[in-house]
Amino acid sequence: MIIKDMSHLKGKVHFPKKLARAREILAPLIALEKEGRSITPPDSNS
Amino acid sequence: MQLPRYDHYTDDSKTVFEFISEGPKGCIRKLVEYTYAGVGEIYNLGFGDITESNKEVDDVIVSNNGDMAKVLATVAASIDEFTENYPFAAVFAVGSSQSRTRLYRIGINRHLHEIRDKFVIFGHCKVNFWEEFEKGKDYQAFFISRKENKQELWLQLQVLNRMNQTEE
Repeated sequence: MIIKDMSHLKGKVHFPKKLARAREILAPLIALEKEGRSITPPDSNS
Repeated sequence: MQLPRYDHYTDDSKTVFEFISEGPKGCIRKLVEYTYAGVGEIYNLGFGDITESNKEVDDVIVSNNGDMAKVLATVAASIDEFTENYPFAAVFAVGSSQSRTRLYRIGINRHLHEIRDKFVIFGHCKVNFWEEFEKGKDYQAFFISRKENKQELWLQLQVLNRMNQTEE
C-alpha cells in the first residue's frame, strides 16, 4: 500500500448514485437509527 | 492465492484508493472510494474511471481494457486494506448496472472459498431479502465484512429483512 497526497479527491462524494442506492436499500435501518433505536435486536437469551 | 493486481495508492484516511489499469485501450486511472452510508458501520463502495479532466469520475463507462480480473482483484485488495483500518466496517457494494453487478457476482463466485477465509458476504435477493451469499444465486447487491463481524451484521440484516417484510 503506497500512501500519497490525494487531497484533490477530498470534499466530494464521487459516486453519489451508488450511495443513494445504498441509502435506499438501507432506509429502514437509517430511519431506526434516527429514531434513536438500536439497530441490533436484543439477544433473546439474555 | 494472490491474484495479479495493480499497485495502488491511498491516503491517510484509507478511504480512497487509486490505481492505473493498463491494456490495449491505454492507461486508465481508476478510483475506489468508501463513503459512510449514514448508519452503523456501513460504508458504500464506489468504483469507476477518473476522466481525463481529473475532475469527474465515471462509474458507467465500460473500459474494455482487457484486464477485468486484475482490476477486480485490485478492488478486492482495497477492501482488505480498508477493513484492516476500519475493522468493524461492513462494505455495501452494488454495480452501476445490472451487468456490472453480475460481474461482481461472478468474481465473488469464482473466489468464494478464498474470500471466506477472511470475510463474510451477504447478498440482497430480488425479493428484497438479505441472506448469506450462496454460490450461483442471483443477487442485486452485496455486503462484505471481516468474518469477526458476521453475527453483528447478520443481526442488522435480519432487522432489515423483518422491516421489509412488514412494509410489503
